[in-house]
Amino acid sequence: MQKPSPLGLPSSSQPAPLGFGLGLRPVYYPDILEHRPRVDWFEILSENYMVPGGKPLTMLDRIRADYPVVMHGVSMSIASTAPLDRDYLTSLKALADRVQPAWISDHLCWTGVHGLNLHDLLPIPYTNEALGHVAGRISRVQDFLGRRIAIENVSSYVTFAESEMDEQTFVQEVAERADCWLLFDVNNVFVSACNHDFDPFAFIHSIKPERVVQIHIAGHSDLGTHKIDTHDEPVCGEVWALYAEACKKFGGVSTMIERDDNFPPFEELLAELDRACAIAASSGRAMVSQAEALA
Amino acid sequence: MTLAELQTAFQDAVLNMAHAMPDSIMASRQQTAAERFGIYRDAYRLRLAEFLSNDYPVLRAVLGDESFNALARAYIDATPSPYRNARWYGRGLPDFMQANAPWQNTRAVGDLGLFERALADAFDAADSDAIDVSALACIAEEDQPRLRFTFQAGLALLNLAKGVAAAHQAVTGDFEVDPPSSTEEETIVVWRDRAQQAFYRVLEEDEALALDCASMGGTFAEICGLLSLRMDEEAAANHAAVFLIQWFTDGLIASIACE
Repeated sequence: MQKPSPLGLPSSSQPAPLGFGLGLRPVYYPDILEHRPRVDWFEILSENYMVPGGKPLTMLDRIRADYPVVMHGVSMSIASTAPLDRDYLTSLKALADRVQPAWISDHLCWTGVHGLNLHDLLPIPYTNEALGHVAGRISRVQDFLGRRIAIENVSSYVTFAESEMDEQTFVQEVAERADCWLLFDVNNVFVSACNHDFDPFAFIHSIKPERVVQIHIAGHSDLGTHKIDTHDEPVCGEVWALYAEACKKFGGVSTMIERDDNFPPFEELLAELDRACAIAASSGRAMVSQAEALA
Repeated sequence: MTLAELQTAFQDAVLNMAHAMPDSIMASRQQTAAERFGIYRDAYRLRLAEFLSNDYPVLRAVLGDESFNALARAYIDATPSPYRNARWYGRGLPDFMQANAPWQNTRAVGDLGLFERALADAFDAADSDAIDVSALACIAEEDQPRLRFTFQAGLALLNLAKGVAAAHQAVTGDFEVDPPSSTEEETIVVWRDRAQQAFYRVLEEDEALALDCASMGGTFAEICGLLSLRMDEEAAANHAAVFLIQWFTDGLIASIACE
């Protein structure tokens, strides 16, 4: 029997797949506005547009007129033990009212306590205490926003002796308890698997497909002793292999490539997107985007 | 250790290198616990320094990488971020420079920071459509002395060392100018133009006084009165009218109203 949702929605009501998207970054505004590239959708960094006005919001409005958009934040600090920031959430909700995103996401992490922000996606111990705390906060955020949100697994560089379960168990259980969606970051699984010596394929297979609404793929930096989630390199072969596995497991899930530094020509990102599309198609679980379904 | 205690200890140790990291951080096969925690300590400083570098590119070019990095380190150590949005972290940098040596000893460098901050603030200030000079046609002639003006949200009037704006333009345009004056000042108005670019103009002293008066809520009559302290009344009225038309042309004025 399906568990009742705090939002009064059936747990299986996933949004329709959007297809293959890219992160919207200012450096690419001219390419997008002049050439209307064959990208199914864009993901924005919410905080970049939580400003009073001006060109960022104007550009966003213009691009939103032609493309579906999802909102992805870095500052919700959902795992923090500090109180939820109502001002932040109010501003996020106002942006969502303007953008009408397909969904809103943020990270399974904390960014600060005691009124401060470290501007980083900080790790948590995978304890029952943290599980109850995070799930409760996600529920409260969903109630405030009036919609389900998607939570992303992060790359991490430390582990804690306090942990009582592995990361994938924690992620899956958070999603179940909070009745939220998951943004499954394949690169983050790979980076953390390398840093903490776990099997990334086992991670993928422990996640229930009905929770996953989006996949991130990205590049990272290999520093020999560890890997860092930098988003400044092309997607590597191991991450493509994991993505293929994720496609088999999760089916046709909206997929996007994150690039946040060392920006290549826009055509290179389109080529990576083509590769993602081909891998998804070869998995036998190719998605039908909302646009295609309506065509 | 509870989650709250762990987060407090983790944050304290990231912010303050002298504080011990949480005991429960574990080593990996390839790194010690301290090396792993160091990734977060280093990332914090690198990320905030990158925010500052992005917000003050000309200041960085003028100071050079080494000096700018020293400034960034000092600011970061003194200024943990209370902001959710990285956009606002660097706003305090010019004030920090004015309050601390050695930067407070070189006014032009601090003023360059003030100028870059004003340009950034104008860039994403709240939207309001600039009105055209034709709006004056709706104002009866006898009401014009009581006219007041509301300006664009991003408008800033800055008193800076003379030559700071030219130095900024020289760096962005890759040409050379004389260094800013250590004794003389100039007033600069910064705003966002109709093409949504942050823009600025160096003001002559009379216009600077007039715009300062108007932006503080002064009426057209009060602007004329202020200028008449520097010239005869007819010339003051003529100057005020010329300035007003220029402000409309520049797109500075968001609305007008009579008392």
